[in-house]
Parts: sequence; C-alpha cells; structure tokens
Amino acid sequence: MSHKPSSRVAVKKVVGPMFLVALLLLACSEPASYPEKDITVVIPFNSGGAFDAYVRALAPGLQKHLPNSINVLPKNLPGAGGRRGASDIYRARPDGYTIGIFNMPGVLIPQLQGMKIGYELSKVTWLGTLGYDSYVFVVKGDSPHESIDDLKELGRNVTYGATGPGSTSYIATNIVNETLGIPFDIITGYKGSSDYLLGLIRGDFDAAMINFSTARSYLESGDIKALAVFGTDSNDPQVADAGDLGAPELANIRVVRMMGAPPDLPEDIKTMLEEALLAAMEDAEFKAWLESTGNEAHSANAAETAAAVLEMTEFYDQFRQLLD
Amino acid sequence: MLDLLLQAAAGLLSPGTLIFLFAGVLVGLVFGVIPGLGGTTALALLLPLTYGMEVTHAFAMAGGIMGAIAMGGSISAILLNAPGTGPSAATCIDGHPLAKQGRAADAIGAVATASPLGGLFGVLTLLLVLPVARDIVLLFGPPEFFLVAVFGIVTVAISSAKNLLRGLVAGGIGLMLSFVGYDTVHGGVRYTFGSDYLWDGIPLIPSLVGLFGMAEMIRLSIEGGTVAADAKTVKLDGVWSGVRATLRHWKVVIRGSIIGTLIGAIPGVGGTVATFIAYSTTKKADRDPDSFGTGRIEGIIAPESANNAKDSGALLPTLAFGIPGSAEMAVFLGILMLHGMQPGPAIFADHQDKIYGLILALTLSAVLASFIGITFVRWLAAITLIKGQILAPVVIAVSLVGVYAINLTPGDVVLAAVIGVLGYLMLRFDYPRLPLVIALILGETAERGFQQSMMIGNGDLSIFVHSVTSIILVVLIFLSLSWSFVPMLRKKFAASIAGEVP
Amino acid sequence: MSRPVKDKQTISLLPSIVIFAFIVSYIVSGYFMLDESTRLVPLLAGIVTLVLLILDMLMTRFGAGGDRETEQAEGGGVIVPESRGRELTAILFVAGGVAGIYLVGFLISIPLYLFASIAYLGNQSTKIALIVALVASLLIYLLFEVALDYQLFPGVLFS
Repeated sequence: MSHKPSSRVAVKKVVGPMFLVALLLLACSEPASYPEKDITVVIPFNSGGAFDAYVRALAPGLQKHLPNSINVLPKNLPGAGGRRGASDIYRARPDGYTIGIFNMPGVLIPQLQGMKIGYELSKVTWLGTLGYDSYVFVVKGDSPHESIDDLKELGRNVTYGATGPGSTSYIATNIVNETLGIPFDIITGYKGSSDYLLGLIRGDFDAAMINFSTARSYLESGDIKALAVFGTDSNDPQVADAGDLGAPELANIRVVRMMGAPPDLPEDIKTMLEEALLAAMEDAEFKAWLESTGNEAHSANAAETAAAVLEMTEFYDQFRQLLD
Repeated sequence: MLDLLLQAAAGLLSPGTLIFLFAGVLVGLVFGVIPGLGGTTALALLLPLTYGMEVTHAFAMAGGIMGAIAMGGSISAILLNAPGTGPSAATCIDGHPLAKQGRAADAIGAVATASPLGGLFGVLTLLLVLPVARDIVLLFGPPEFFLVAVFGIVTVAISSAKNLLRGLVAGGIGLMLSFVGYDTVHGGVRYTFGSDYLWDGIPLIPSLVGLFGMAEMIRLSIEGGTVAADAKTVKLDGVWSGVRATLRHWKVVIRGSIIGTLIGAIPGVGGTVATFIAYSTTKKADRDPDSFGTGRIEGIIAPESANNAKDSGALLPTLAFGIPGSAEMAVFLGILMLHGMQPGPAIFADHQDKIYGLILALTLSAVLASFIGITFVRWLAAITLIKGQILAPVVIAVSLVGVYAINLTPGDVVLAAVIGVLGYLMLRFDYPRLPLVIALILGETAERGFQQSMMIGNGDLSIFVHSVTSIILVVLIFLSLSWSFVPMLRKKFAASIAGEVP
Repeated sequence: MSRPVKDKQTISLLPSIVIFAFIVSYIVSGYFMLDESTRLVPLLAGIVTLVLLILDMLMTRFGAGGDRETEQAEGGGVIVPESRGRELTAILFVAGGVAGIYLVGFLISIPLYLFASIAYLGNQSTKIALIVALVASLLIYLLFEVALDYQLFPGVLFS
C-alpha cells in the first residue's frame, strides 16, 4: 500500500463526514425550527373585554400545544373599532410569529363600505374560529311585550338602541327590522354595548339587539327579557329564532371570533397553528373557563373559517345600502 | 354585611395577601408618578400576571395599585407640574406653585392626608349606598349626561373669573378639539384627515401630560433656575404642617370626597372631571377665590380627596350592573373575567367576600401610599432644588416614554409634544388651560347626550327637565352661573352708584 | 419667575390671529368635508368661539390694555422670556427629540436628546450632561424594557 500523508487521511476520514453531518443537520433543522421564538397574538381591543378574555384564557393552552416551549403573548392594540388590530395583523410578516383575533363582522363592514382600511379579509390566512356570540333581541325585564309581534302592534316606530352607524349592533338591528318589516328608529351614539344595555333597562328605548355574552347575566337576573335570538337555534319556546320568525337567513346574524394570520403564511406553519388552536380549544381548563363565564363552545378549523368568511361577506354585501 | 367585612379583613391581613397588596402599592406609586402611565396601564399589565393567581391575591394587588395611583400622580403634579395621571392634573394648579414657594413638603403632607381620608369617605359612602346602587346608576341617562357635562364645563370655564373671555375662548377650542374623531351618533368621522390615529379622538392622557407637564418643563428650560424659586425658602420638613392643614380644612375634605364619589359614579364622565369640579367648587366657595392658583393649600386638598373618593364611586355602576364606572374598572372587570367570574348584575351578590376584600385593599393602600410618601418627603421635596436645565429634559424624556407606553403608539408621543408646545404658548400668552382641558374631556359627552336626548324625546326639549335628577342639575347650573355673575354685576352696580367708572 | 406685565408690547395680537386662522380653517374644512348632521355642533362651537375671540381681540386692542392682570392660576401668568430666540431654541430641541424618537426610536434619541438639551440648551458642563444622559437613559431602559417588558419604539426607519 502506498503511504498517504496522515493529514490527508484525517481530512478524508473525519472532516468529510463531519461536514456531511452538519449539512444534513442544517437541512433537517430548517422546517422543524418553527416556532423558535415567542408568538404574539394581537387583540384589537382593550384589556377587559370579551375578545381579550378569550385570547388570554386560550393562550396557555396554545402555548402547551406548540413545540419548543415558546411563549404565546397576547398584545392589546385597540383603536378604530378593531380595525387597527386587524390591519396590524394583516401587515405583519407572514412568519407565524404574529397572529391575532378578528371581530367579525365588525371589521368586515368597513371593508364592504369601501373604507380605506389596511386589510383585505379574503386574503387573511384563517386559522380557526374560537366561538361565536349570537344576537339576542331583548326588551326590559318588566316590559309587557312578549314577542316581536307585540312590538309591531305599537302603532308607531319601534325604538332601538345601538352604538354607532356602521357598527354590528346597528347593522344587525337594521337587517332584522327591515327583513321582518317592522317600522323602526335607532337611537345611536351609545359608547358600547354595556351602555345601551343600561339604556334599555333605564327605558330610553323599546328594544335592542345585544350579543349574548354581554346579555347573559342580565337575562339571568331578569333585568332584560329575550324575545328572539339570532345566530343560533332557540331552545326556549318563549324565545323565537330566525326559523320561527320565518326568516331563516337571519340566522347569520352573530359575532364571530376568528383567528387569523397575515396573508401567504407557509402551509406547514399554518397547519401547526391550526392544530394547536383546535387542541387548545379542547383543553379541559379552557372548557371549564367557557362554562364558568357562560360562553358556549363552538370551534371551527381553518377551512371552515375561511369558508365562513366568504359566506359572511356575501351575506352582508346584500344589505349594502343599509350599511351607509 | 359587618361579618363579611370582618371576614374579608381577616383574609386581607394574612401575610401572603399583604405582600401582594404592598407590591400593588409600590407599582401604583411608580405608575402614578411617571407621567403618562397610570392606573389603567398598571392594571392592564397586571391582568395577564394574575392568571393562575388566587383571586384574593389578585384583588389585593389590584386594590393596592388603584389606591396608590392617586398619591403617585399628586407627587409629580406638585413637584413637576406634570400630572402622573389625568385626575392629578387638578392638583397641579395650586400644588406646583406651593413647590415653587419651597413648600413642596407641606403640599405632599396635605395630599398624603387628604388621600386616605377621601378614600375612606368614598368607601363608607359606597357601603352605605350599595343597596340602592342600581337605582342611583339608573338615574343617569342621556339628558343627565348632557347636563352634567354642561355643569362641568360651565363650572370650570367660569372659574377663570378674571380672564373670563380668554377662558371661554380656551374652552371653545377645547370643545372644537373634542369633536375630532368618530361621531358615534351620526357615524361620521370628523377632522381626522384620513389618519386612523385620531379616529378615537384626541387622546386624553397624552394631552394632559403635554399641556401641563411638558409645557411647564419647556418653560423651566427656558427660564432656568430651579422649580423652587428660591432655594433658601425650601422647607424640607414642612410635611406635618401640611398634614395639620388638611385636618383643619376638614370641610374641604368632605366636599371634595362627596364630589369625587358622586361624579366617579357616573359612568364615562371620569375621575379627571371629578377632581376639576372639586377644585372649582372649592375655589368658588372660598372667600378669596382669586388667590387660588398661587398656592392655596385648599386647592390641593379638595381634588386629592376627590381623587381617592372617585374609585369608590366608580365601583358603584361596576358592582350594581357590572358596567365599568371608569377605564380602570373596565380592566378590573377583565381580571374578573379571566378568573371565571362573569361581570353582570349578580357580580356583587355572587362574590361579596372577594369584593369586600377589594374595597378594603383600596382603603388600606391609600394609607400605605401616604406613609411611603411622607417617609420620603424630604427626598421628594429636594427634587425642587435640582437645576431646571437638568430636570426639565429628563422629565420631558420620561414623559415621552411614559406616554408611548400607554398604547404603544408613536402618535401619542408626537401629540404630547405638540400639545406641550401649545400648553407653553398658552402660558406665554395668557390663556387659561383648565377650560380647554375640561371642554376637551366633556365636549363629546355633552354633544352625544344632547343628540341622544333629542332622539329619545323626539325633539322635545322638556326631556331635560323630565326627571328629578335633571331638574336638580339644571338648578345647579343656574346657581353656578349666578354665583359667578351676580357678584360681578353687583360690584359694577355698586361702583357706578358710587360714581366710579366701572 | 414670571414678571408682571407692564408694557403693551408683550400683548401682541399675533397669538389671537393664529387662533383666528385655526378656527376659520376648522369651520371651513368642517363645512366642506362633513355631512350636514355631523358637522352641526362642531361648526356651531367654532362660530361661537370665533365671536368670543373677536371680542377678546377688540378688548385687547382698544380696551383695558396695559395692566392686564392675569390669573396666577395654573402656574401661569404672562411670561416674559429672556429672548424670543431662546424660546424657539427650547421648542426646537423638543421637536428634534420627538423627531428622533419617531425616526430612530427611543434608545438612540433619548440619550442624544438629554445630552444635547442639558449641555447646549442648558449650558451645563459636558460632563454632567453626559452622566445624566447615560444614567437617565439606563434607568428608563431598565424600567420599561426590562422590568415592564415593553418594546420601546425602534423608530420608523428600523421597523
């Protein structure tokens, strides 16, 4: 055998394989490295609201179901009725480190109105639905009216309370009354749903459309009384639902809490997030939290959510003239 | 009720809970002192940390924060004219002149006494009134909101008696600025020129920090010197005379506390309004109203009592209906929600013991914060001896950071600076800032109240004298107006009779 | 300290004119940009304020004049600064600081602003300016970024 210099042998025998192993490790580590750092979940409202509570209740579970023990950090970005948070999520880098919750149809309506907003909802990478909040048609607890028909017989415009024109409560009131053929006036300007809830109890107006999570404890205490519910089926014979009223299309009226990420998110990251989300929603602690706060468990996966967005867009688009 | 209170007290005084309370007090003091940061920000930061904490501990910490914020805010109001929080802005008016006269220690002593007294009064009122809380909250609808807003604006605008015309102009500008943003009544967006930043209106805290704090610091950096005009006159140990002053003026304490509790209880009006109204009414009721603003000790006792009493007031709608009485309460309800407690009419009934714990924590925290304030008063008063050229840029820098921290919006930083320059110019050219502030806060409330009342009442103006509450408010407004104008007219009348030129 | 007003020169009509211009542009832009219902109250407020302003301008020009004894309220009272130049410089320093924060963020601008203001505007020794700038910036960093876990604005150029 010829004698090669030992250094050359060393290179061939040690460094070479090392190099190959390193290359291999590098190649394998790339896709499996997400998530490498903390993930931010944008909440488009201030601390203390329902959207905020949902995200914070879910965050620990999300953290648990994602690999690499990174943190999931909720971040409040209130402003412009939820639009600031929405556009912040939309414009973030699609690397899976910024996701967020969208209030639908709240942020959908300005888009349909043609307002200059920083997002396009059909392009958002939808990850899943956390739940929805149906709309209850309520009157004061001691009101003599037992059904919507009673209100029709008032012989004058039925008065409702809502936040601002263009808000979900306003739109919902408009759509329901127009569809059911009730003559109505809306007293706008209340700062939030709690404010017009108080207005209803005070007697400022006849009735209101309020989302169920806000209304629930007041229904239980008897301060307000539900005449109808939209967005879900009614289990209570005293409370009508969209079907009972002969207007099944109104079943679409509800607030939906959807999670999304910036457009063009890589497919594998999206799948990872989607699965973590669904798993977190099945966690015992989350379900217990839902129970104790009186929220119902309704989850949906990414594909269902994306489809729901398109459906919602179509639905509200029909009522475009009411939106202005 | 008494046994539940005792139970809650026992729970609060356990060492574990006390630590959380104390931590809350410290956080509250720091957040109160730094201009821009305040109770709402502190609670919002606390919120996620409470996940996994026992509810009693979370409440002890929250109560600690809320009770101490007022003291912290007053400290920077007095020493730097930079209100640490919105409600502390009223303390600047007579507090800072006291500091300039070298009597910062007096001022801090007075404030340290007024705060827990006001807080205690507020808590006692709350406990007394709790059974009828619902009815009280329901007394206030759009007509009443309108009248309260008008009362607030009128009271403050008229308090600038000698400079009335300029005060009214400043108030008018404040009104005009308050209309910037989204109009919830008509849905239009006003004066935002397309920017999303102004969509929710001109933010209050950056405006206050700029108008009072930064303006004063700009002035200081121009004029030089120290906050205390003459270093020799600084009494570093005046704190006990301040304490005695508050006890002497116990009637002012009571008046301030009543106003604080009442106005704090009206959702959406806010603590800043409460302290301003407490200040203005005390000034008007005094024998020598024009000396207010030069360092009258009553001028800080009144707003400080109101400042702590308002927290109890804000608990009223929160406990009666689960509807937050203030921004801090809104975050507090969030803490409740996180722990699986549903805000609503039943919240007090379902969680009485924990709520009593919170109320006690609030009271105790105000006392603790005062102790800390008094302990460090010499150091604090010594700040007035620091060269203005060094102090001013530092305070401006900290204010800008603090203001950014509220909402993580760079726009707030720019706004605070712009309004800071505006505030300086108002100082320079002799336009009172108070009316501008109060109009900025209440303008939209007034407009909304009016428009909604018109919608509810179908255009009938009698809705404003429909309820007992509204009638009382209308009478108060007229009294307030006549209280100011009648003496003025009488003086002129007397002067012309005596043959002098009016 | 503020000195009492003695001469009419300090009461120029300039600020009133600026305010006048502001109110007029507010009214005009509101009239053209807003719908009838939403502009009603703001325009009303603008017009009333304008009237009050005109009254004030008239009184300043022709009225009691010189000894405008103003309230010492709000720590105020008319200021008579050393020089207009100094005022402008002070304001420009703040403007510069804010511009810096907006462009390159807090961590760079705050130390620079502090140093420049204390050393140049404040005429203090460079050593003191440097020390205060560094210490204050460090404390701010520790309090906000470390203890409170805020991400201080990095500036538009870096984000």
